[in-house]
Amino acid sequence: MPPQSLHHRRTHNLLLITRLLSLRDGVSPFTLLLDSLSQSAKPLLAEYARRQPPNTRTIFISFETVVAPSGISVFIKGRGKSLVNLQREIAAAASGSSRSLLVLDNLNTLASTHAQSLTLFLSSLLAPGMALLGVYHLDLPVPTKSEPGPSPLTLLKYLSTTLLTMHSLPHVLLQKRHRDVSLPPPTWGLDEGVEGILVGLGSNMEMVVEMEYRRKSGRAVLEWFVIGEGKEEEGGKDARVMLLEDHPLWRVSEKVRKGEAEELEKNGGIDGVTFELGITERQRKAREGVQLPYMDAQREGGIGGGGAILFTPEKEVDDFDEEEDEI
Amino acid sequence: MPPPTPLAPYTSPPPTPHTLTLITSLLPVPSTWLTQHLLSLHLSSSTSSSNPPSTILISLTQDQNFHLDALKKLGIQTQTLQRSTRFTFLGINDIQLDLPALSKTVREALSRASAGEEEVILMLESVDILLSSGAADINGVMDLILYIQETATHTIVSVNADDPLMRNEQHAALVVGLGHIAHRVFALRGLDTGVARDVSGVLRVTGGGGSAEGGKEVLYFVGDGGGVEVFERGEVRS
Repeated sequence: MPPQSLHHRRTHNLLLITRLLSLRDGVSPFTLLLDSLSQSAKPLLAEYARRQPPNTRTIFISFETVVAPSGISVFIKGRGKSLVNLQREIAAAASGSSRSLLVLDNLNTLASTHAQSLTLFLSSLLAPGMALLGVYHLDLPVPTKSEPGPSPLTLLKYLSTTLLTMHSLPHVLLQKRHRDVSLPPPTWGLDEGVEGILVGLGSNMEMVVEMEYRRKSGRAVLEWFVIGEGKEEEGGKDARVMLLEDHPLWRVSEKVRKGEAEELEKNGGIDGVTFELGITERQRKAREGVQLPYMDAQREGGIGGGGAILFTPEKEVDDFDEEEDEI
Repeated sequence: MPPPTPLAPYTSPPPTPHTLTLITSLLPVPSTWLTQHLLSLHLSSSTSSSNPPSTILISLTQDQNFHLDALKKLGIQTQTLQRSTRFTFLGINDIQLDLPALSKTVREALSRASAGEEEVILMLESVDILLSSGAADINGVMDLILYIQETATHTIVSVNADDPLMRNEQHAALVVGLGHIAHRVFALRGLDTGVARDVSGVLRVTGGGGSAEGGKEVLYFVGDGGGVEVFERGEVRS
């Protein structure tokens, strides 16, 4: 992306994430949050709950949470209930409210117990004034059943209008540093491949969110954000959101690259030169003033005016024949 | 009072109730010392504070005497403990490896313990045995753990995370699933460089979902007498 549009993109995308987090004007009916042990989606769920306008009824359907998080209006335990019963309970909880947010803290459980009917269940919940927020853990193994058809994750991704993937800031920064010097990216947690390691160091620190927002036109908007905790400022304030490339720690390594690029330009695109290849204005003028030999040949018209071959035979070397020359 | 170890900031009970602590161990690096360490911390804190917590320890791999002996070595008065109603200990000999039976036992123990005002701490050792013995499926085990977490003030669960076990889909789903719920994860493993005479293993402490702590790695050494030393990498030990 050309640098002049960065300002425009920043303004546009920050506005978009603010709208997405407060779910204003039905901007995204089904938001899928993809998380792992490296970065949990729980802080983001809390941020969602905090940013809802007061007339929103937030319904939390729990599959792995035992205590209702703050900002939740209705807490429903989803484990072991049939989809029909669950649907009935949700409908009862949402009735009479013009605006409700439905949070499912773990879609994996439903995906493993009701693989076939999960998408149907979710789409049945989508109604005007209702926004759906579902968390799917990417690192939980999917039961290998011999059922035909795509995996639940594929279906969920297909169904969702916004995809938010969680990362931990230290991990993203280290990955970038490795990429910058063409090293293979490091891995964390289970991916480290070391027996006995479950969670990587530096996990669950500051949250980096990779957004894929699908417009109605079908075009997708991609952006990376850092969503910090809002607790350090006045209580109850929203968390600070910024573009990942505006984060001071991301910019440090970016500055190094930019500095290198400038140097490269100065050297006429040749890398790794320890001296300057360009010239200063004074040097240029001095060069113009230099009298080159054979200046006559460069003058308009040149010597002899037109493409003549000048040949001066040498007496001793050339075979000089007067008769032939005269012909 | 022993000198503070690098582990001290991580062994204090979590600030909010109904939290889960997960301990993962491997066959060469068992987690019994850590269970006992956490247990002794809870028990010794109960002598000082006015409202001592009730403690329930359920082990699916060890018998009662194994842990009682170890606790005696850690300076806990086990005789008064056994007489106390605040302490329930169910070893491998006292329980049936069967989910409905175990759930019933747990429910009874919890209702007895939470009759009073005090906090309830429940430790469940090697809960993955329920899966590997075929006594329950993943949903059954998760239901039980979530029930315990909801009822008890603090829950500490240990699981085996050896590679061959983790290749089993249900087992991996249980371990990773618990990792998502846990407030804190203690992961034990051997040294990357092999077996050493004076280091038993590596302990990685990380925050689970939504705890906002980066994690830490320390080394530990379990001596012959059962005493445990926890130290930083590169630290000079006396």
